[in-house]
Amino acid sequence: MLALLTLGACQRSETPGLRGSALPDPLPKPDVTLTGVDGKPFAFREATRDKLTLLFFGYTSCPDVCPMHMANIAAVLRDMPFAWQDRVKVVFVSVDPKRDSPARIKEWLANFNPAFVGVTGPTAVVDAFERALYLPEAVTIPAEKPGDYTVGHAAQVIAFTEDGLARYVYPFGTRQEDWAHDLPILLGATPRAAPAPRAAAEPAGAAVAPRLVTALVPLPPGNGPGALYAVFAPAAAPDRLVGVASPLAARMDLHTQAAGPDGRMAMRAVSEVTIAPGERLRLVPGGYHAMFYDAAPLTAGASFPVTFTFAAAGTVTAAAKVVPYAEIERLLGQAEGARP
Amino acid sequence: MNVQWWCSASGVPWEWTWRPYLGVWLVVAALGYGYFKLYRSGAPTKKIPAAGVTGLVLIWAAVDWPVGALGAGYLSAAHALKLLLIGFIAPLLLWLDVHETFAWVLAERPRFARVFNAVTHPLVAALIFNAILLVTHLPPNVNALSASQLGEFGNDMAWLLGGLIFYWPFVTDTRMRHRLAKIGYFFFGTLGHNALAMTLLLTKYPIYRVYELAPRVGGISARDDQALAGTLMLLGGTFFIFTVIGRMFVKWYREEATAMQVTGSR
Repeated sequence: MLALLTLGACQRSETPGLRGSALPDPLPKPDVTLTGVDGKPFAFREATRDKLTLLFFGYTSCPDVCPMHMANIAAVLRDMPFAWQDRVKVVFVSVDPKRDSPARIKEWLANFNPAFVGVTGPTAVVDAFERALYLPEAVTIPAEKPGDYTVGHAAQVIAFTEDGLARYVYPFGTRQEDWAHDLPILLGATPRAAPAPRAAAEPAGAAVAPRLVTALVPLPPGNGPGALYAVFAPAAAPDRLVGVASPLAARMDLHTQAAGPDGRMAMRAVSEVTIAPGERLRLVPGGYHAMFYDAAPLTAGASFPVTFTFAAAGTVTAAAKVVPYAEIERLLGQAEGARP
Repeated sequence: MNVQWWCSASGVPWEWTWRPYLGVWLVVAALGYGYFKLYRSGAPTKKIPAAGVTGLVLIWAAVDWPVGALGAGYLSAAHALKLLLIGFIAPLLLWLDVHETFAWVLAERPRFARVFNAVTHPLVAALIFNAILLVTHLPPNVNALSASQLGEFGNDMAWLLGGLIFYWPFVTDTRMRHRLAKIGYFFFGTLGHNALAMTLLLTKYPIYRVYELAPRVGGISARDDQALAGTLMLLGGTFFIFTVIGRMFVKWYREEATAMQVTGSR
């Protein structure tokens, strides 16, 4: 079974010089204390002071996202000079305390890099930690095998620069070459490219794409067309969603459901969806949504990349999660209730 | 059971559970039918075309589960193995038993023969073969083709077709008569393959997103997998090239020796 991902996906904005996505507002390091794999308290803020900290919430039974992030970061760190390696701290927070014992976390992380820090703690503390970073809390989802389960969790690595602020996020899909490009810049070893000057006529904030809270695909789409639903955080500036695309689908269109001339509700394609400032972009059943055609076979729990194109703010790429249809309303409602 | 047409990348974790791919069976069956029809249309014989059968079996092994599925969406090394089998080894084996019969087919179909002869001119054939190899290995193409069953099917068929075109001037004497010319053609025509192998072997970071971000299989890292793919292509390809060239030299030597014996006995 797959791990579920991106209940709280992040936006991939155009950050000059960096491949990670810039957070609209840097976030301070949460003051939280968990338990290290040695059984001792791990005060996150203190233990990572003055370090470039890469924080990730995951679980050791995860078959895809978690090992991929850890393996890619480890592979790139291995090639960096020791002095740089020493300035980077990778912190893995388990969202599966039931199965992830300290010994198991330690053994799992050692597969990638024994210097990676594994921590665990009560669910309430881990949830609070995630909320402080505007990440959705992890959810447990029963698997097909009785007693087994997967964990849906945020799929991005959060990068805190050495000044203690979370400035960038690296979603699922970040590659080794992306890390190799960004880590030296984050460490200040390579000068960061100067931000492009904002066009005089462009209103402040117009280039910031709305933050995606969740993107979901209900099963069973079979081999026919399927729907994609998504909820974004309230937009800071007016914009228009003009396209949705995925490498796993031959074609994706924007649709809406509206009453036809005969008064019956029908689906029709639209070229764009307008977003007013302060409003959420909602792609939901019965309203605006995206349809995809000729997609690769989907399995519950799987995820695939989707790119939303905005007229002003450019593109946002995130992973859409495949979930049972019965779960759609609940998960979308949960996403709308999430803090912006 | 989830029956699919062709292997493609799905993003789901790999499981060592057999899966049926209907298209694979149909295509291999169609290939086999066409091949035996062509073989039987030649001189009457009850001999089994061993090389051709081996070629067909290799194609089947390459495109069906598990190699096909692993190569489509999980391991660069399996992708390389698939290329070796479909684009490199099987086409030569397929031609060995039917190239003479196929020459008759060409003779009976002059319009088809004109097109076929144009694309199998040694220079053109080598260019087509290398162009197919290189274009199907450009990272955006690998990522896009592997994402759909149709794309991966097209990719596999392009390799097979490219291989068949490449080997025709090599197996017939209508294009190049002298063995040295054939050896030179074979050697230089496979430089693209070797360049590709070296690129995989020497590139620091994984080239293909589809394999780098696929759930890992057997604990092999994305970088090691890519290096293994390069090694497999380089060693497997080189071994095959030198085996074929070696066989040609042995055959050549035997023919020369026989000729000398005949001359000596006169």
